[in-house]
Amino acid sequence: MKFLSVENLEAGYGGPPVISGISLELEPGEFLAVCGPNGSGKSTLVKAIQRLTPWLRGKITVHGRNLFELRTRQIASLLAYVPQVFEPVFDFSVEETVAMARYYRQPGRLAGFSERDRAAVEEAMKLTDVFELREKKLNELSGGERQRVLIARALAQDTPVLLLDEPSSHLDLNFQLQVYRLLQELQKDRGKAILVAEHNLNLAAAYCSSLIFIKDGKIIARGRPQELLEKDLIRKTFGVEVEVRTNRSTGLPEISLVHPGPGRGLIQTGAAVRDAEEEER
Amino acid sequence: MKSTSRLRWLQLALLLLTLLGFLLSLKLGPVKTSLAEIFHAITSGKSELTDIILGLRLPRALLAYLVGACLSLSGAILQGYFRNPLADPFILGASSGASFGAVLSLQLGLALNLAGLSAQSLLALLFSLLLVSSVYLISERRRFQTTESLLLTGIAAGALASALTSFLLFRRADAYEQAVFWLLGSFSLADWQQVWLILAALVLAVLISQYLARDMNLLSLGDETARSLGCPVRSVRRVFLLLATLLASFSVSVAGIIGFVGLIVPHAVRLIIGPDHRQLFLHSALAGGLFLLVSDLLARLVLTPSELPVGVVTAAFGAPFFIYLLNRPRSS
Repeated sequence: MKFLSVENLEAGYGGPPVISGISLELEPGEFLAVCGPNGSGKSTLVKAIQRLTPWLRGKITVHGRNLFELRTRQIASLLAYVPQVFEPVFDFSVEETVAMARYYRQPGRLAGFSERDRAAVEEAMKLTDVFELREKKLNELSGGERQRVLIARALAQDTPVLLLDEPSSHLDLNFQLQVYRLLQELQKDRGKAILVAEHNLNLAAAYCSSLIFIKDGKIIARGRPQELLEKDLIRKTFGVEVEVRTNRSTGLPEISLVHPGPGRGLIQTGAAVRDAEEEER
Repeated sequence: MKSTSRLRWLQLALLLLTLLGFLLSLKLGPVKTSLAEIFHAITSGKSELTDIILGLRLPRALLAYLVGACLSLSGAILQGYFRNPLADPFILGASSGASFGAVLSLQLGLALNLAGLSAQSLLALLFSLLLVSSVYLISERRRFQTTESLLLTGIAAGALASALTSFLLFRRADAYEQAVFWLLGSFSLADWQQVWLILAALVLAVLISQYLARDMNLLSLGDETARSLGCPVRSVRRVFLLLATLLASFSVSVAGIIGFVGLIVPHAVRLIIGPDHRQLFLHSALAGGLFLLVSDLLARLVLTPSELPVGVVTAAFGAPFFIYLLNRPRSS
């Protein structure tokens, strides 16, 4: 039996479903990235697995337990979700924010923080390198620091699975690498199963053990980065012309955009892709 | 200064100022009294001053305090609920519904009394609750209720109720003076039955909000995040909305519409002790009580022997203080 298994998932926000027919599996120690163009449904997929979308159908099991039969707090002990970095409304400190992960890991609403809770919060802050910032307010942090705080909170939740919604957005190169290195450590050293929605293909290929390409709410390919970073598949998914090379220092594949020549834009729309395909025929 | 020591200072200040506020409320008024006379009036139970102290000044001071606490707690709840520090207890139309009920009862000339509430108060309470419940039900008919749809429906329904109130007042201009009571708030009709009623509502609301305070911390991060951290968002939201509405409606029904308390007090308390609702709820209630106690004292004294509506005082003192708080240099 697979660890996390999603079957025939359909999800949306009230209108037509944003994603449909999604099936995937995730093992402990696996780092899976869902990639696709804007609006393809990658963020919706990550949210749907945690049952966060307003409309949802299909089957999700973790450890063989049906997520639809579990209470919210039970789900929170299996899956942790890291949202995109947002502007906080109220001035909570870093430590207060991370500690919120423990509220529903306690026996009752009025229970105080146990030694175990405190240890989990401290460890999560140290792992993500925000321990020194613990008394600062979220509003005083940079985007990268805030992202690490959100990851710390998910870690303090102490779940076997981490779901992240575009953890690299709003971050500069240095912070993107920091965040992905951290995730890779968690995957390798702690055996966490990690699923990210990611728009940066090179970043995903460099750090994730496998990729899923999603377009118009449907999975169109799944495999190791070496298998998926392929010219035709990327044109089909993203509508762009790329060149795939091997990174000399890592040996991993990476893409670079190709200028398609005079008169045509660097990025092609879906219609342009279809035209080009017809021309080839 | 660390937030725990700020909390201690706030508690000390609240305690001392509240004691002082009550003492002055008992002492000051058209009939001059000394502290010894007040003490004698309370303990003996049959001095000349007993009626004034125990029958008028004490219930009035207590009611002002309790209503202040209710409005402020209601505001603290709704600011967290809407993730918006500008929300106040009347944002969903509780006050507009209440004014309509009160003015309607004046026009109909109803006369009855139930649990310390006059016909005016009862109709105010009824229409206030009715209006907010319809706002909730209307916005819930949408398949996926959002706080924005609730907020906008509340504003629209409030405007409708205000229009109806104005219509009633326009038709019967003689009711205008009495209606001002509802528009600006007053504690001049306070009695012990009202005190017990509001006390019961407040104690219940404080206990429940304290029990759910951690969930409000989670809600303030956004519904998705709150759910992912284990919070049963829908049911918690319902309870908080019910609490905030009951607090606002009961307050309006005994004291009329008193603005600013529910907006500025939770905001000011949050600036002092931070946003953690486990402390914010209780201390907002305590500070709101103090604020309205002092405001009512001023409302009684500024134009002696006549009285100002207390809403005038809360706005006159609250607004500049609020502007100061928002613009003060931030300590790092």
